[in-house]
Amino acid sequence: MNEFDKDLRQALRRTDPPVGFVDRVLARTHPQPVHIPLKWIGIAIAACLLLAAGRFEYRQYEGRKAKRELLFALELAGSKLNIAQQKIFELNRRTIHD
Amino acid sequence: MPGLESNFAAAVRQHQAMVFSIALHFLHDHAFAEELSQEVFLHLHKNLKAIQSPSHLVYWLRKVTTHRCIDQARRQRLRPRVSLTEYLERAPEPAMTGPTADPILAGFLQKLIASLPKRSRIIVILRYQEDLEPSEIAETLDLPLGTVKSSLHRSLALLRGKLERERKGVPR
Repeated sequence: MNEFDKDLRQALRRTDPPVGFVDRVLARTHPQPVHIPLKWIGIAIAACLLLAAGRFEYRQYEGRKAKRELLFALELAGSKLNIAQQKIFELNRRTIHD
Repeated sequence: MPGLESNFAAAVRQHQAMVFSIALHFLHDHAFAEELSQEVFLHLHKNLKAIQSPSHLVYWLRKVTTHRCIDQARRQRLRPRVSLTEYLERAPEPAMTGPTADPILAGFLQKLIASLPKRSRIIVILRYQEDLEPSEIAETLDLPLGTVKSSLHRSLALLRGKLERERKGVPR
């Protein structure tokens, strides 16, 4: 074996893993069942319900808003049509009199 | 292998240094090496029935560790590149060198090995850490014997060249 081979063997000597490695492996072979406290389940359900109610209310609000805007637009269009109609009548009347 | 299930902890204790060292020399990162070593032993725990004998256990662990190392490197592209000058500026990692080793030379060689391409790196580790013959390395890595021999030859020439250049460049 030459010097370089010896250096390589020395550099690649086996090393033990950090202390407690075996325990950490064994702990992972028996995964503990996750216990979620009942309180947190209650909080999670309440949060879900609140979120659902909020979403429902928001959709209702959006619907009402859209309805209001549509009515306003129709009203506006109606008044514009009335003005245009009056102008046409006026023009027709003038044409007949002239 | 009879008794392995009840003596799993003993098997981990017996082979932890081999698995951890392959991972550490390959990945050059303690945290990644520990995580990968744990996964190898967890995989073993799930496949205890497949192990036929103590020698098969060693073969199996080497094979799984080396393949996982290559997969990990493929995912993370861990290839540190370092010069001796750069290395000398940092403190050597004491856990990776023995009491009789020249810690600077050993640390530098470890980093040079870690900078080799994946396949060449694992071949050098199996040859010099595990003392395997090229034919055994070829079997572990599912590679042709010629590929292992030529890769080893190239890697050693490269490492020797780099070491010589650094030795000439930086007085030790």
